[in-house]
Amino acid sequence: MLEGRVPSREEVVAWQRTLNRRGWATPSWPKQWGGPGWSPIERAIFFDELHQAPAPEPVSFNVAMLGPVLIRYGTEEQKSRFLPATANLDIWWCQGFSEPGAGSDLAAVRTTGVRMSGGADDYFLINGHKIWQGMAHHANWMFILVRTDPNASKRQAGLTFLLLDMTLPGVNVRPIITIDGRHEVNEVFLDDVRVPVDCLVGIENDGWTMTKALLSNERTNIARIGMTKHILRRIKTIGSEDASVAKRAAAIEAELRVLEVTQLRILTAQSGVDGADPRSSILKLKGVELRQAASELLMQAVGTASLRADPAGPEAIANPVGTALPNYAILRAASIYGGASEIQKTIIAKSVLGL
Amino acid sequence: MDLELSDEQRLLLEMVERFATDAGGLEPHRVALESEVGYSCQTWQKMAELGLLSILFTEEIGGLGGGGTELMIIGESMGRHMIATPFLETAVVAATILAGNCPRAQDPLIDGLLNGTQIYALVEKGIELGPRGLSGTAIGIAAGGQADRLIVAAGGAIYSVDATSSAISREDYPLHGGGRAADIRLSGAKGDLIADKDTAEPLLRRAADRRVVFLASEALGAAEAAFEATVDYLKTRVQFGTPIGANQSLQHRAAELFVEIEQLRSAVILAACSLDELDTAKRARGLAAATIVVAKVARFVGQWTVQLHGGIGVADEHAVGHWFLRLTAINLLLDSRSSVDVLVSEGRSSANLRTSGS
Repeated sequence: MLEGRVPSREEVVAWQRTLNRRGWATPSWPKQWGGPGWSPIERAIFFDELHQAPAPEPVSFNVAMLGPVLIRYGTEEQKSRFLPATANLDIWWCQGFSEPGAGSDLAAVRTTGVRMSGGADDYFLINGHKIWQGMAHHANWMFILVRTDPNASKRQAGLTFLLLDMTLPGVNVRPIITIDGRHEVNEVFLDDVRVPVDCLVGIENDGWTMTKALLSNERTNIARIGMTKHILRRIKTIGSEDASVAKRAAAIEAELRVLEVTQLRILTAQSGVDGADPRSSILKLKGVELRQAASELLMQAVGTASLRADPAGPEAIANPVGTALPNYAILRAASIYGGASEIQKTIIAKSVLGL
Repeated sequence: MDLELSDEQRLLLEMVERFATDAGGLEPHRVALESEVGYSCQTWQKMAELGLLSILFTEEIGGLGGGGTELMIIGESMGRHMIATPFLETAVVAATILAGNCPRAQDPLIDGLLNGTQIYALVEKGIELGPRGLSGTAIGIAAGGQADRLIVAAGGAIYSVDATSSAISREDYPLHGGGRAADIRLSGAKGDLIADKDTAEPLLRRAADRRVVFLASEALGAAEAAFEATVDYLKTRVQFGTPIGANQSLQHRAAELFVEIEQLRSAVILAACSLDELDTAKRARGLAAATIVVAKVARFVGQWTVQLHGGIGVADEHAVGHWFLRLTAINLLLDSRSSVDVLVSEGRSSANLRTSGS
């Protein structure tokens, strides 16, 4: 969001390339692959400044999710083929994980990948239905989790992680319009799509390893404190006549300042920790709670004027009137995606508290 | 913001925890509640022997030269082990005011504080300086009935007053959550000037800021202890043939408590670090933000740790109810409404959150 509106594809591409020229498009990548070599705390500062500017984040599917997985598990050929293009947004990735029957329970993936032999030209034949692909209409590649061994002893054991060129025959993207009236997510239908074996990442039937690594990667940006600060600043700019708005903004600001300390503590403790860390759930839960509260308060500060809709979309009405309600509405999804809040609480209860 | 303890601070932490584990706990707490003075004189003497009462004084006059982190260490232990003493009133609030008054090693007021023989209580409001001396009524003065001397703010200056003087009458009563307070009436009491109009205001401010850090730390210790007891209970209490912690609704509530207590710890760190902030406005903002969060979390943790204990949670014989009462008291003692006003007025004057980074 930029001052409450969604940036265009052109703006995101231009901005990512600007960042990439300084080595800042890939904050968590090592220097060898064009990253800045920042510590977790330096990365958190970078994101905080980006959000407050406000400026778009580098595309997280490319930079936060897939890049680090390729760096760790990709072949040398895959790294040199994909990493520079991923950093520069010459390739725009989307995530092909969720399915209608596999949401929080990702191991329930049913899209099939059948290995077909043709010697050096082996390929996987993909059939299935993926859903919730953010920005898939901008994307030209998708990283995807498919079931390659339906008879594996554990559901997690029969999955494979592939890179899929979306220009291949059999790929169909259908938009899903969300309650904010915008088109950000999609579903993707895959009918007899032939993915060459050189697009296999890691080991066949070991896709769960890559998936777990990918989902635990970008934790320095999970609380999105800068975004909430930016919303609070917009509330102050509106200057509501309702005195309770300023008081509620102060209460959110207090928790946000304290969350900055919590983030600093967790990132300091996590330096050197590899893989998933249940403490990241604290940042996700609290960060989302405050961002949702701030977006709701912004809408309340605008008042009933925020009810006015426009068929051309939220951006057709001047800020903040046009976007206040749609942004509040779509931010309800923040406690659903990236591990629903209920999943985060179960993670804490089981891994931290031993319940 | 330095999150690591120094070697000295780690030693202090170990010493305080050893002492508090030994002196504290539910039974000693209940004995103290029933006692005439509201605390254990033996525990108080032990704190003096360990040098804890000198925590905020500089090394030149026999103190430990401590600040926010040391307050946090002691407060957390006191809250966890339910040790109610006049530490806050004497060794934090009064000590801050006495230490600001060009302290000398031979100052009898400071000597009495350091060796544990003198209890002090601050009277900040309700007293006027007239031709006959100090007069007026002050309500709910913590440790006011036990105090040997009152530190009285009047007419913009601060005076030390003999609390046993015939010009003073006191009505002393116990407080929910521990400790005692008194309503105090001064009728022409004689006071010795300890801070004049130029120095009084910043000293009172400093004492109030340190009080917030100590109360916040005490809340953290009480909240953590109540939460640990609750998680244990969830694992061991069996109903319907299974530990109650197997229920997802209770697991999720426990996870929420865990998140809020992490925020509480961060709030205490923010408060402690804000004490060293030289910019007055920034210091006020940091302490205000911390106060709001501590008050909120103290209430949340108090209420839900009792709820998750079921009936035993409201029984006087169980510790969790006593932590709940202390957390409730701290919620009331911290002035979170005026802390909201601090952030609101700052927001209006600057409309700039970017300076909030630290």
